[in-house]
Amino acid sequence: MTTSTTNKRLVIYEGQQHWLPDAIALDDQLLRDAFTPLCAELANAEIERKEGEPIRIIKKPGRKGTSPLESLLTTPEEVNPAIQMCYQVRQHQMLTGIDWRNAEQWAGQIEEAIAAGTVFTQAVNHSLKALTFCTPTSGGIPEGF
Amino acid sequence: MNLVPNSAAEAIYSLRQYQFIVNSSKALDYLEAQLNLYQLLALYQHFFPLEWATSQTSLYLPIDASTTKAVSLENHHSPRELEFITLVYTHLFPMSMSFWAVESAHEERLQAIPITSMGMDWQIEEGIENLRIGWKLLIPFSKEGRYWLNDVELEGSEWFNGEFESHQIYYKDIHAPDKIDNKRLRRLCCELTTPLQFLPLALQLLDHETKNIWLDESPDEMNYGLYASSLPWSKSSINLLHRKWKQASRILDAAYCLIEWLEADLNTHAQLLLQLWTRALKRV
Repeated sequence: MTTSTTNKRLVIYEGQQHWLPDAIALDDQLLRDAFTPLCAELANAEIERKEGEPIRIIKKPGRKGTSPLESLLTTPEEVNPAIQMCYQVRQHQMLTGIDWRNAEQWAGQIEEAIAAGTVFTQAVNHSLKALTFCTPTSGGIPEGF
Repeated sequence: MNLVPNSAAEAIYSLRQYQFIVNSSKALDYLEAQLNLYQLLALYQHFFPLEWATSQTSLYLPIDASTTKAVSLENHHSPRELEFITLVYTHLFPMSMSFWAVESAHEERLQAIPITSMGMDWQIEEGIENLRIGWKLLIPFSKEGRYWLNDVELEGSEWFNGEFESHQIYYKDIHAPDKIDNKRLRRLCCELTTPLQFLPLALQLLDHETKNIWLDESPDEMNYGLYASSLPWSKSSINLLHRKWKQASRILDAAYCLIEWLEADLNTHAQLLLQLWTRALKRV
């Protein structure tokens, strides 16, 4: 099998043959950059070079749970601790009114919930901001399309 | 557990607990108000157990058509909380602040303990003019006062001479504070039996260098000149402020003793002050 012609080399990606100029094919990063428009995940692709054989581009398998969607799907549902405490205080006060006998304990618990709730809210806002600025990447075609 | 409300105010309070909150910022606002409420009730029981046991005031806001909105309810203290704030300022903090603090607490929740300067706020507008003559005399002896008269107030020395020339006290005769050996001054003051011994304390008050939270803070413009700073509602804050107020009272009493003494015979006592000041000069 001819793997090179004048100033061009054969590159194989997912079984398809591509002839690329040496200037690109001989440099791993340039090669990745050339294929990234086809699939964004190729930005980190492995380049396999064997004497007398075409260059192969191998897409690195993504680690489980690292894609944002997988992350979102695997993350357990959580309620903001402030909202949880809000509900707890209201539930209690519906029945007892102001629970002055346990004022100190309530103050301590509420203070902790405010701190945790503030951190939680900041984390949510941070994630929301990160998601908004996320660069879209191509994904697999869902079954049925 | 009290399943039957004792009053209409309590019933309304309980009913309001059915309002649903899913918004995190509203939940935090609600919790801040609840934290303040339970902190004040816990502190009331801790610091004034007898008054708590005999108190007849309501834990709930009175039913008032003008305050039926939930937000406004959360922003106001109940009569029981107001009673505690009055007790704190009457027994543990400066009593002269009591009226002001309770008035503020009637307006909206005091989320933290407001601290109003009880020291010498002579640099605020018209402050210097409203000082007693004894304090005016001490202005050029203090570092801040000297700076004020030299660099801030136009014709500061003329103002001083105008105030005191009838007593034969002139600005030029008062050595600048940076020429004074403070250790020597303190030692000389310790040897005195007259109220002039309190001169270093009085100067610390004017310079806001007493290291006392009630005396060194200046009203902040951000607080519209109402209070200088604040501390969270806690046992340690109240204990600290109480201890500091006792110390501040002693400093103020001593300083006012000096002022009274100076004013009792200004001509003679000012000369004694000048003599002491000259003796404390740094030796080259």
